[in-house]
Amino acid sequence: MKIDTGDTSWLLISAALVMLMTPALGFFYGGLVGRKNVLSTLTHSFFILCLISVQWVLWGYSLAFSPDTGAGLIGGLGWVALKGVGFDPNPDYAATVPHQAFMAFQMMFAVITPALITGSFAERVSFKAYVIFSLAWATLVYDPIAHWVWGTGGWLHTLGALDFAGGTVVHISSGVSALVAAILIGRRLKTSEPHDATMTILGASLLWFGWFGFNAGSALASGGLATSAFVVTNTATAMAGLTWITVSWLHKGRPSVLGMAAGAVAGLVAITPASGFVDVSGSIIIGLGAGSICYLAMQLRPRLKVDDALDVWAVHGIGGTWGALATGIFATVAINSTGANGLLFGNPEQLLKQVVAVGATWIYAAVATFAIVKVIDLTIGMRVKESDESLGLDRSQHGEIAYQLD
Amino acid sequence: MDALDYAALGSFLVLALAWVVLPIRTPATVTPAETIEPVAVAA
Repeated sequence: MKIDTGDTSWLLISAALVMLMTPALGFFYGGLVGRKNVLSTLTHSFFILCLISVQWVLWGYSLAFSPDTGAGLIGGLGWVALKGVGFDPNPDYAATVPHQAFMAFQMMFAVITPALITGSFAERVSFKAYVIFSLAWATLVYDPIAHWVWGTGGWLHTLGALDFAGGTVVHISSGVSALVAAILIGRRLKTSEPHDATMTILGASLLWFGWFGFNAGSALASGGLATSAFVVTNTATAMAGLTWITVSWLHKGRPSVLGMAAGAVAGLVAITPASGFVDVSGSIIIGLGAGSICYLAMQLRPRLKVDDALDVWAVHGIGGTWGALATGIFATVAINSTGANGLLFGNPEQLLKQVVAVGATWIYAAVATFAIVKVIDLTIGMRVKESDESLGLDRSQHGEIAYQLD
Repeated sequence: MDALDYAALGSFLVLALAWVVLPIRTPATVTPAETIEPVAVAA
């Protein structure tokens, strides 16, 4: 099989773009926490970049993408330590690039997904518990769901559910897990105001930049489909940012700057599963929905008394759910002939398949995360001591501080 | 243009209309209880 150098270049560049998203997420979250928890929040993203990079090449990629073990639930161990994952293309996944390039691209998705969850338990979780949770969650939740949706023989893949770049695999799984973790871990002793909004805007901007690799890279080739994914990603993100700032203006009397950034991220999340299947008008409606639905979901937080500190559920769980369902409504084979038409183009069955994929991901992510958090909490404990939380995680967990102000 | 195109165009125009008509509640227009107090800076 012949390797296409253009496709390979695009996929490797896309992998690098997606890599940048994880530290960018650290900055997005880091600006939203108090001054004494900045380093710990940045570390939650940066450490996962190191941790899952190694987990993925050792066993994660094998569990997610190696040949199915029979029931459509998990891959085998045949590709542990990348045995058999070489430089020839694997036609099951990407026929024109080295298999290892596809593996590297997927690695960056596996890295950012558990990092997304960390926003829910910011400012109160012990570093040790976070490390164990992240490794267990990547292995027991991310890898199986990635196999269901993207792996050859995965049951949702076989069913025909559409997820171009990770609405279910990345965003619903992390968003729902974030909600469960926040409920089990409990509220912070004291909530904080965002200590540096400029850091958050910078993080959101870098996330937007990296997301072009996430979505347009998921075409796995440079060409028309990648271009379409690039355009609808930018359009939906812009529309969601515009919608959120307008809704917040209507609701609170002022256009919120942090709201605009959160809205843009919600738009990025929502267009993710649809980005290879919808046209520009569909992406505008998806962005409109993301900016308004996620805003409403965020208003539920104080009423539910759940301290999902940085609103991971509202943005990723609900945004991902909206995007996955919207894919079943707005998808059209005019954009991607290997996809399917959605409800609006005469195929209501596709929406049903999307509902099944969404429901299965919600249930599995919630149950598995519940079990992981409970086991860790009963053994080493998830939270730091109250005195350490009051001192701040930067000092208590890392012995360092972000800013020398004297 | 089909119905989806009209919906997309319409939703953008509705937002644009909102930017024109929505007032901004400046500190001068909010009640004293809502006013943000200046943060004391240590000398």
